[in-house]
Order: sequence, then structure tokens, then C-alpha cells
Amino acid sequence: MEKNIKLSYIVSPNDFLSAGAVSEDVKAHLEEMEIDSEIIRKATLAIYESELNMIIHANGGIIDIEITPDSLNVEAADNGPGIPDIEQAMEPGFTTLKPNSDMKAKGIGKGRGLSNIRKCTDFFDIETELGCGTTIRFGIDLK
Amino acid sequence: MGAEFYHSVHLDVELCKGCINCIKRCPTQAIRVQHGKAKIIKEYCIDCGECIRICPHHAKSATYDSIDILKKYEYTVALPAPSLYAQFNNLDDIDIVLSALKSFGFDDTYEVSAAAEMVSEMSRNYIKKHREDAPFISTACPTVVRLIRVRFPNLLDHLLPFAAPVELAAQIAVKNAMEKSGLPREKIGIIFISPCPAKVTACKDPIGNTYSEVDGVIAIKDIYPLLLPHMKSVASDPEKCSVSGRIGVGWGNSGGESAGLLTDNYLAADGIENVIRVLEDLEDQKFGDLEFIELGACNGGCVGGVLCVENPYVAQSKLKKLCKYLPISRNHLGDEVPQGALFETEIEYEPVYKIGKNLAESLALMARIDELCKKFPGLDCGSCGAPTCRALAEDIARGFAREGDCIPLLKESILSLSETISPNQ
Ligand code: SF4
Ligand code: SF4
Repeated sequence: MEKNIKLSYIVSPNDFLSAGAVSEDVKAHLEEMEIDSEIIRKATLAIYESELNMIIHANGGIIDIEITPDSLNVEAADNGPGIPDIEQAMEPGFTTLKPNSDMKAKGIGKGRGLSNIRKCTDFFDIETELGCGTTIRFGIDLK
Repeated sequence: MGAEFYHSVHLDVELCKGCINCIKRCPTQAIRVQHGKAKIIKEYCIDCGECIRICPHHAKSATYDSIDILKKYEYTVALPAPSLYAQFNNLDDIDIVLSALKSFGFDDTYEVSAAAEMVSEMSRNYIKKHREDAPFISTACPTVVRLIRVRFPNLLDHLLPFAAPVELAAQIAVKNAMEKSGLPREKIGIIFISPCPAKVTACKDPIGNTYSEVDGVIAIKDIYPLLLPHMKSVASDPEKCSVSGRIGVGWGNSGGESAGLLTDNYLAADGIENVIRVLEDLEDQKFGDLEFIELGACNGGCVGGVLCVENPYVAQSKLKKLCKYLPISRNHLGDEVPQGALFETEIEYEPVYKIGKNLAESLALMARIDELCKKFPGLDCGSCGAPTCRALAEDIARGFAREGDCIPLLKESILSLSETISPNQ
């Protein structure tokens, strides 16, 4: 029997109401498996952040998830403008939102996104091309 | 998993018509209809009472003691929940209720609201001392505690380490009764008058404590009609026996426990759906710096318990009116925290929803569940007796149901079968 679970989600741009749909679904999967609740918490948070990134900054995209007996692997490929300076974008607190953006008023885009994802994960990689989009890949050990 | 999973809500098989009204209403997906009858999965049931409210055939009810339990003891003490006071029209004096309980047959009373005032004080002190671990979640509603224990392991550390006020009330009542009557413990009956099945369960099978001093639990709705004539006869000159104030009595309403903490930095949610939403957001750390979270499974708070008689919102308003002329609080802690007010043991996570014995096995089962879900029509129609298509898929993976239980799928296969047999029709 195929032992891995594969889940795939399309995230629409600017659809704030669905923010959290992907992370909630993955969480529901993980919660029924023999997985430590702290690991589930980290995974949910990391996926939620990448979902938010896609919705707010990146024109939507596709999130693919694979759960194996060893790890949870996520690939989030967006349709955004790409990131000119990855180093800078990875700094905690960095955001591309303008100071008066109304998204800020909603408490979104505090710039914790990428650095937060990296903090929650055991493996993190980012690939970006200006004008084409960004793909982040991350993994969390399940054991 | 050491737990026994006692629950007080049960099914009367004779009355159940298998109409599936209850399966969708259960917040923990604990009900299945199989072979035309409902069945409660005991590990999932948190005694919220939703299925009692919804069942049109009155097939669901709570187990509790009958009034006759008084006869078993030489000396009995009634522990009335504050929600009892909210059931009566134009009640302006709690002493009338308490005197009526004595006139009815109890030897003494001890108000749960009196103990609640001590728990309020303990909570205030505790929160002040442990501010960095906030927010704290109330443990007064046993349904909420049970829900957290099976579904929100990350939040267990946030529970206040105190047993519900009725436990403290029972301990004080035992001490008083032994002093007053001179009788040994076993001849004394401590009887709680409860608004809900969850509190029955909490006394019969406590979590956080190894045993309960409560000897019997009777329902507000059972004693209500019996008390009325006694209330009439004692109304003109009731004995002065009430010992609680506004903070204690206020616990019967949603927000009452929070009011007793004298802080504005709290959230109070009532109704099981709302409670679940708050817990989910809390788990995802979507709240800022709240100090206290009060959660009650019933609409309006304990006054909305399924063993009450009055409409919850009417009861709420009555209780508020009654509180208006009471002193703020009439109970204070001594120098030490009373024994028995604290949980003796930590409440442990019970992973009842987990499938598979290890990660590899869960993965395989989960893959099977996802596969089945793709096959099912996704109508969540309930015809199979499970609340959702996914729940049926999980039941199949666990070995409790079969694919053929899906009625739309069955219909399809019968249709295609008949087409193969007589293709021209
Ligand atoms: S609501 Fe549930 S318990 Fe009541 S008759 Fe229908 S299936 Fe049976
Ligand atoms: S009491 Fe609540 S949790 Fe238990 S079966 Fe009924 S609806 Fe479900």
C-alpha cells in the first residue's frame, strides 16, 4: 500500500476569508495521526504563514503537501512578483507592505512570515525569480 | 489511556427511531446510527447535552439520581447550584429556596455559590502570581474540560488547577455535617442539585481528582416542582441561611466567573459551538494578551443547562436581578488554600481521535480515508448513520463500517448494475 499522503491546494489571491483553510485541513489530518501536538502546532503555523503570504503578497498559488512516515514536506509555489533581496526578506520584521496599507490595520503582514516559517521548520529552502514567482519548500520531522 | 470514559448522557433504544437528527448536532461526532438505532461512542462523548436538546423523540436523556436517594442517608445536605435560583419567578430572597429545601426534607444546605466565591479568590491570587503563563482557562464547566482533554492537548497547561466549586462545597458540607450531626461519614448524604449531565459525570467520574465527596446528584428539573409548595409555605418567614453574595451567585450566568476576577482582560464564551471556535483560535495563538478565558458549553452559562426548566435567557435575567441586592462577596479564604479545591492530579491528554498505533500505520489508514473520501459524493447527508462522509471513511478505516453503508454510492452501483443486466431500459 502507498504509505505517503499527498494533498494539494489552490490558494486564491486576496481571499482573506479562506486564509487558514489549508492549514486547518492539514492540521485535521495530523491530529488524527500519532504525531506529537507540538509538532502539529509548528506545522500548522508554518503552513498558515505561507498561505497568508500567498494571499497577501503573491497573487495566490499552489500548496503541495506530502506526509511520509518521517516528515511533512511542503512546497508552496506562488504567482507573485518574486523577492529582490531574500536576505532582507528573511529578517524578522521585514515587510513589503506600505506603512499606511489597510492590511496592516488588520494585523496582517507584520513581516514575521518567512522568518517565522524558518523558525518552525527543520528544513527550509527558497527559490525566487523576479517577475515569475517564489517557491518555498520546507519540511518538519515527524519523529 | 487510563481513563474510563464514563458519560451520563445515554440512549433509550426503545424510543429511538433512527431519524439521524442527533448525529449532526453532536460537536464531537460521537453519535452513529447503525441498524436503525443511535449509538454513542463513549470515548468521544463530552456530555454537552446537545443530543438531548435536539432529539424529537426524547430518546436521549441523562442518568442521575432520583429524589429517593435522600432515604439512603440519615443526614442529608443539599448543595444547590446557583442556576437553581434562576428558575423561579419573582424570587427576591435566596433564603426562601434554602428554607424550602429543608422543609422538603434536607437536614441542611450549603450553597455552591459560597464555595464559588472562594474559588474566585483563589483564581485571582493564582492569576496574579502566574501572569506570564496566561491566559488561564476556567475549569468550571466539565464539558469544556473534557473537550480540551480529547481535542486540545496544547491547551491543557492553560487550565486553572482548580476543581469546580461544587467539589469544594461538598468538602465543606461534609465537615459541617459531621460536626453538627455527630454521625459517621457514611450516614451523611451530600446531594448536589445540578443544572446539567456534565456535572453528574464530573461527580461520578471526576478528572483531576481521584474521588468526589458528592454522594448523589439530582436534577434541577426534578426538584423544581416539588420545591414550589414548600417555597410558598416558608416565604413569609424563611430561615436566614444564605451565605453567598453577588460574585458567587453570578457564577450561574456566562461571564459571572469572570466578573469575580475583577479584571477586564477576559473573554467569556458560551454555547458549545462558540466554545470550540474560541479553543481553535486559542490553539492557533490568535489571541493577544488575555488573562482569563471563561467557557461554558451551554447557552447563557449554567442557567442554560439541559436539566434546567427555565429558558436560559429568561433565567439569566432573573439571576441578574436577584444578584442586584446582594453584597458583593460573603466568603473569604483563610490563610491557606483549602485542600480539595486544587486538582490532585494533572489532567492528561486522551488521544481518542488518533488512528493507528504508530505513525506508519496512521499514514496508511489516513491515505485510505482520503481515498474513500474522494469516492464518496461529499454530500454529508447522514444516510449512512455517520455525521459526515469523512466520518464514515474514518469508521471504515477503523473497521466499524463498510463502504456499502454509503447510500448514494449504493444507489449508483445498483443503477449501473441494472443497466448492465437490461441495457435497453
Ligand atoms: S435524534 Fe438520534 S436518538 Fe433521537 S430518535 Fe433520532 S436517531 Fe434516535
Ligand atoms: S452529550 Fe453531546 S457529546 Fe455526548 S453524544 Fe450527545 S451531543 Fe454528543
